[in-house]
Amino acid sequence: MGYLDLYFTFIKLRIMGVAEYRKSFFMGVLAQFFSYASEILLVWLIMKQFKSINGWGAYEVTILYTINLGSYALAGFLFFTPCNQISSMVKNGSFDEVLTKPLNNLLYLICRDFNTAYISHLLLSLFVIAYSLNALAIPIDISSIAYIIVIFLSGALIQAAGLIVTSVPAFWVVENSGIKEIFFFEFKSFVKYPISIYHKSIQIILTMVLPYAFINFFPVQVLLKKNDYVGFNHSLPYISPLVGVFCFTIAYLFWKKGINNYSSTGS
Amino acid sequence: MNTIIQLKNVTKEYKVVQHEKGIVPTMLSLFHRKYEIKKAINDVSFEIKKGELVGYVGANGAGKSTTIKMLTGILVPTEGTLLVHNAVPYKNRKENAKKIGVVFGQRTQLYWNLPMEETFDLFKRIYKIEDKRFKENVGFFVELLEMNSFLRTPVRQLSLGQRMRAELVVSLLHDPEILYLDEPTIGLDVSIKRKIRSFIREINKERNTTVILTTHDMDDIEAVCNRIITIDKGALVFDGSLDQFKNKYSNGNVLIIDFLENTPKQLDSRIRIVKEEGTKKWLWYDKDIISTAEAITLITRNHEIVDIQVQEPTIEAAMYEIYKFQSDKEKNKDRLLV
Repeated sequence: MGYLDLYFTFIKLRIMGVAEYRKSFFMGVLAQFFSYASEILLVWLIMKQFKSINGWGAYEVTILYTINLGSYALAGFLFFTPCNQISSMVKNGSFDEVLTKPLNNLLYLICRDFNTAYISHLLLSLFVIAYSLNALAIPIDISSIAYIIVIFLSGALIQAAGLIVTSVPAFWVVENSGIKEIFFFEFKSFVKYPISIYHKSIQIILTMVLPYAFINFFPVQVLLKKNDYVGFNHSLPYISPLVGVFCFTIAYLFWKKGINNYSSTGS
Repeated sequence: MNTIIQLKNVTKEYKVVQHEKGIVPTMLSLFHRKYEIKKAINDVSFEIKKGELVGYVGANGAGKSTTIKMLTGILVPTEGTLLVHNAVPYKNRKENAKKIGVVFGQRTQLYWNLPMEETFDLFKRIYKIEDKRFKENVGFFVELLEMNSFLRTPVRQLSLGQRMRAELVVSLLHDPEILYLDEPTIGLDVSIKRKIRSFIREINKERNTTVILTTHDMDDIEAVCNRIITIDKGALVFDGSLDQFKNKYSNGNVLIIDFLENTPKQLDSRIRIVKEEGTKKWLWYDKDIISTAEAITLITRNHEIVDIQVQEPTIEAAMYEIYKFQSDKEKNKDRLLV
């Protein structure tokens, strides 16, 4: 595997270069860890007060929250920096270099610019999931672990698609941070809580238009043996992987379209 | 020799937002924008054969970089056919990239805080270069460009000249058939420039690498290229050999003569005095009308001189001619003296 070999070379380079900014690396990881840990704690404390919302208890909501966070960490580890820097690469023309390499340009960017700070999100969410499952007396066995891995991967595909789709407009409009803020981060924050608490229109959007409900809300139903399908078909949890693959394919095609619109800068 | 690059009626348009002055028009433009279509490249056609050393020149904003970026597959042409190795570069980016080397003088491909050898190693993996070939190439280039002393220095501590040599090596490790150099000598001192020029020639001789060089330094062109393509405002103005270029755009030679004593204003109807500094005079003549030998004989027969210098037409002067010609179309012989 050529890309795997390349990926390890970049990791080697990163480690060799990390001596330069070791402190900032650890500070970044710690800051991320504490900011998300305190948010999870806040969710849990609020839920403790309310006992439950729409039949979802405190630990069930923390699982919802951390499956979203953990799959975002997986997607972010690979896709966040490549996507996030498109706007600046378009501005300063450094995307030129990406297009003159004999590699798939998205894979090249992923190999080159993986973001290590997401390790903290991932560890934190795995820890909270294990703790919550334990508190809910749900056995952590091979089948539940396998199911969580599948949820994580399909969720990561959906989130990666979200990151890509909201970044590609930078090839046309250069500045895409507003688009990303609204359609990725803001809309996705709905699924921190069970979507059954929102208005029907939002439930439909989160299922059919921006399918973030497939990251956690639908698949978690099977894991937690819930029955809160807000009127949708009960087989939805099982199509999460398909939704993931579908979204990612669309996102990739959009990416390829965007690249041909790249206009570089004068030099 | 076979054709390696082919452009036929290539046009590249950019959509440029028109910015108006003042706060009210700026606010209005949030809702309604005026676009202007700008042709960066306008109906350009040429062919380049394997092994040629081509200088691609033009003023700032003439469209040089746009052309290079279309050839390397970065940009998509608006109209026309553009083929490299008989394929459309932007549709075959990966394949195209394997066969080309690119140096953008204003950008870097090197890993900033590591020694260049690490970047070499990375490129070995990116281009899947075999071990043996890689070692041969690194050895050959490092020797030729005299880089041994700074191989292990972090790139950010290198001087511009050292870094540029490393950029050249990186772009050539995978034995590309075409080497695109976009202003590789920008900001370098004369000795480094010379090293780079002779290196490019050497690579071309040893490996028959096709080189396309854009630069504002006409000495680069003179030292490296055997063909020159000139564009201005996106359109092709000239395509031919260096000598043809000089003859076409600057057909006049200049004699700089220091006379013993002041001379009359008029020497001969075919020779004109274009500049004076005391007894030193710049005399312009057209080689087609009077030969250099004849001009010198004519002058020395009637006047005593202290010193004599013959100024051949330079590319620099010829380029200037083109720029001037394009901007004010009015012919004025005096501008030959730059």
